[in-house]
Amino acid sequence: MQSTNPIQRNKMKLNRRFSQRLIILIASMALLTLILIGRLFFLQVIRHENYTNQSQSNLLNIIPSAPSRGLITDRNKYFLAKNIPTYTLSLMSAGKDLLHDKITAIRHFIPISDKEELRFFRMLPHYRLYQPIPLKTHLTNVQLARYYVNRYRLSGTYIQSQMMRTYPEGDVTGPLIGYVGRINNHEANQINMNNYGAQPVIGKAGVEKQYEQLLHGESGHNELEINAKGEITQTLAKTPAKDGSTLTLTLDIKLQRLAQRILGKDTGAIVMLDPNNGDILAMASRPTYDNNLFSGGISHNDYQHLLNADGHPLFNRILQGQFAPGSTIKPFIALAALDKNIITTNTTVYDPGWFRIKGTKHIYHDWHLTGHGWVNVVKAIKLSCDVFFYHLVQLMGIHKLDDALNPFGFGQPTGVDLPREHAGLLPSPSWKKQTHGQIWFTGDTIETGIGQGFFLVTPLQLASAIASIATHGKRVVPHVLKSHTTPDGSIHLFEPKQLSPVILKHAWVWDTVIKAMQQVVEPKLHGTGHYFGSHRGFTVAGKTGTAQVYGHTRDEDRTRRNIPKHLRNNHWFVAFAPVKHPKVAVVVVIEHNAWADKKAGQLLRAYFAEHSHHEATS
Amino acid sequence: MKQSSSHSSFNRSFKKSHSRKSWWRHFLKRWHLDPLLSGLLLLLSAIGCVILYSASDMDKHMVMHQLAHIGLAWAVLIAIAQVPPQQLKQWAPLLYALGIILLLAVLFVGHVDNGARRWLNLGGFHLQPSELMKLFTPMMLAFHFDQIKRIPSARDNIIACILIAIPTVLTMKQPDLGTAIIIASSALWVFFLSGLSRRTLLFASGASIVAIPFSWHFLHSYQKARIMTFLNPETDPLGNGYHIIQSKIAIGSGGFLGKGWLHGTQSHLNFLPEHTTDFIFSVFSEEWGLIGSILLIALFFAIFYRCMVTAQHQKDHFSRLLCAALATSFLFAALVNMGMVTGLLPVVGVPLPFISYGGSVMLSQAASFAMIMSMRAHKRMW
Repeated sequence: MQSTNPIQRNKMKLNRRFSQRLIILIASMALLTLILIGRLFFLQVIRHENYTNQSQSNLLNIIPSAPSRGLITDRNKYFLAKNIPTYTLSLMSAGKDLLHDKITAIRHFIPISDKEELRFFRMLPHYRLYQPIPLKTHLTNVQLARYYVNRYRLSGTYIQSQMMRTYPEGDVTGPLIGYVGRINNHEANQINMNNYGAQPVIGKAGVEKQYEQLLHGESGHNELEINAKGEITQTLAKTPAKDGSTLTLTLDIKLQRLAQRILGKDTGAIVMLDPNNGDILAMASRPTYDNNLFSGGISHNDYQHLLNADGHPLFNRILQGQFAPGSTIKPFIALAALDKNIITTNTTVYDPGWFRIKGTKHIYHDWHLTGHGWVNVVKAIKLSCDVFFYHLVQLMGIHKLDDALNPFGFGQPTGVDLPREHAGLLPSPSWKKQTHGQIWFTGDTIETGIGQGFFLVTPLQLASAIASIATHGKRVVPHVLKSHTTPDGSIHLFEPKQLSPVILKHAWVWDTVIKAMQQVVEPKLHGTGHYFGSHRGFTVAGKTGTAQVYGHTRDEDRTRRNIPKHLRNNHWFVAFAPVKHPKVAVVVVIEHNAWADKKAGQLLRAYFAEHSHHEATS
Repeated sequence: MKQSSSHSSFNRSFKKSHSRKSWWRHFLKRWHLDPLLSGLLLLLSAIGCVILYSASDMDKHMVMHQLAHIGLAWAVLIAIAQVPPQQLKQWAPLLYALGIILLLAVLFVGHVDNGARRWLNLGGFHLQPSELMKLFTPMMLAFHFDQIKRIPSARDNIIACILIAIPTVLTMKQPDLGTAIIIASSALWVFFLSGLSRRTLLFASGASIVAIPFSWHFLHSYQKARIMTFLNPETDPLGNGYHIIQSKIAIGSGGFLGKGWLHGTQSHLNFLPEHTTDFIFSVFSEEWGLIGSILLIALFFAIFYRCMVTAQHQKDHFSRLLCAALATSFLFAALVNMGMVTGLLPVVGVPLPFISYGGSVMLSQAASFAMIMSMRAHKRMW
């Protein structure tokens, strides 16, 4: 049935071709459909976990919440460090022109300096779109009120509040309390940065640094669900922050203020502690600094100014200042010499005003030009006779001298709970060999014996050592923390560390030396510390000290000779009171000026005036 | 006793259902509607509304609007289904010419929206002529190949090419790359089915591969950016790549079973762009998972297949060409949309038929299914 009609043939051919092509088309569409399903399988099954994570990180925003930093109080709950809210005006990141317009609008209500504007635009590239960028920090209450009244006109602006550290006593407690600041790279490596997400602020000095862990607390976080614009749609989970503990210091703010005032314009330091338990009641260092300067982020200029200021205010002289102890060292030597029977109370030396080691030409002067005549150990302490001690330490030799001073903690850090304590220096032949490459001369022993030469102590070391005399050898590590209170209200008392006591074979030796020290403050007996002044109502034992800064006579200070200030002697006064049941030990050091004894007298009188009153009322 | 009563009730219910079935069968037949295809399309529209409710973030207003679109579309469908294919064939050249005129009018007096000139404002009614051309171009091509009644010669093919090129280029100029692709492809299916020789096909595919680098120059900068983004979305995660990355995250995080209806985070928190229109499949896939997606794709394929079977049974060359081309076009648009949101294809702006929110596309799709139904219903008549 071969059809020869060309139209018919064409039609059949077309039909066949159409049917073929239709099947090809269906098949290719099925293939494309399968490819799509394969793609979906790849995305939804093979890569499912990956995309689930991405979806989660899209919508989850974990915002750390800052714990409130612990407060610091003195022993009577007087605040030394608090937190106050500060307010920052921020602008939402947007186009530059828009931001310029907005700043102009804000200026109608709140002054924005050119400097602030400049800083704002410098920070702009570091922020993502729709993130608030700080424009003006530390808004005043008036500015804050103006903002809220006009808020409806200022779209895209925000007020962010933050807690800022404030120190009510400022420079009175500056070097002791220290300050907080932004975490630097070095610190970042030592801490768990997750705990600092919300407020990257850390203690940098003083108590703030020492007790960072107690003060900081634990950071919390909120898990928020956010939409594509960054708006919060709901809170998924909340882990509240744990606030820091409140620290109660051993400090008595009244004594601290007085100590700072007593120092006046002089450069120097005063430390007062309780010899029974090591509580530091006052530690004043001059010049000082106002730690509030650091709270809002100190400017580069201010910081450089503090670093380079005369007398180095950032330096806490109590534990970082190293001075020659001068004659304050004499009672310690006398204690060992009497106890080891090197001398007796009856041993006398004739003081002509000078001393010479046999076989040498060098003459060591007494501070008193004409000498003190015949002197025993009690008189030698009272008058601070140098010649007596020249003879004594020559007799003892450096080894016995070091053995006498070591148990009191000289040359070692006291272990106080404050950062960056210096160790001082108790020289020895082996030390000299190592550092100077020279042998020890008898002359070095002589100088060490009157607290000069290489010998260096910190005021705190000396205070701790004097406290040991006051308590007949008891040694407690001085400390500033009394207790800390956790946010739930439980109080943890600080346990002062006891060190092995100084043990003397003969208990009467303590009394002999202390009696001699009592005479130091008696004007009638011509004691060297007679500027101490009245001590009616309490007994006191003390010792003066003068440390040469430059080689000239040591009685220069009360002369009218014109010696440049920075070359004048440093003056010490160490004391404890009352003698029987000591309550306080005091060390005063004044750089390049006298009157250390007078200042110690002022402080102790104030202390006893206050405390005898307390005892009378209670 | 008991048994007989249950038996009688069974009988009664059978009769009742049978009578009701015959009633709507009769209705469909009277209005030339294909019952199976109508059912599948209604199912697809219903699914579309359910997805839209979630994608629009439970915006009832928007769903009501879409229901209105669907109602209007069915009215148009029923109306056009009454037109016999013969009539359609006769009108094809006229409609094509009208469409070209409207496209030209758009270029000069069109309504600008989103930087593109796509709409004609006809006194409150917005007409998108490129949507019409999705129908008129394959109609014209089918008409062309039907008229020559032979294996097309080179001249016939060149004329066909020109017929495709005019509306495609005009639509690209608007610019609307997505619609232009759909117009060109719908006509190409006619071309393919009408019997190009294997040699010509090979030559054409070779030529188009060569043409790709040249056509690059004709694209708008935003279209170029889209294609660059498609090739490597991660280079610009917050700019052009953002949409496709977020879409892949939505689909991928949906997993095998999905996050559940109304529980898609990517769409409800607005990470997904255009989630009621072009990216609606991402919303669906996030909430219904691989299972849901496969079922939806199967539904698309079933509709396509039903139409292809209809095409197979057509005696008239114009009818079968148009029927197959429109059906393929429908599935192709769906595949391009889904390929686009899954990152297989560049984002070109093709909506998902019957699912994406929008009236114009719904109407043109309804019109094409109306023609198919008309062909199926009228095939015995001629």
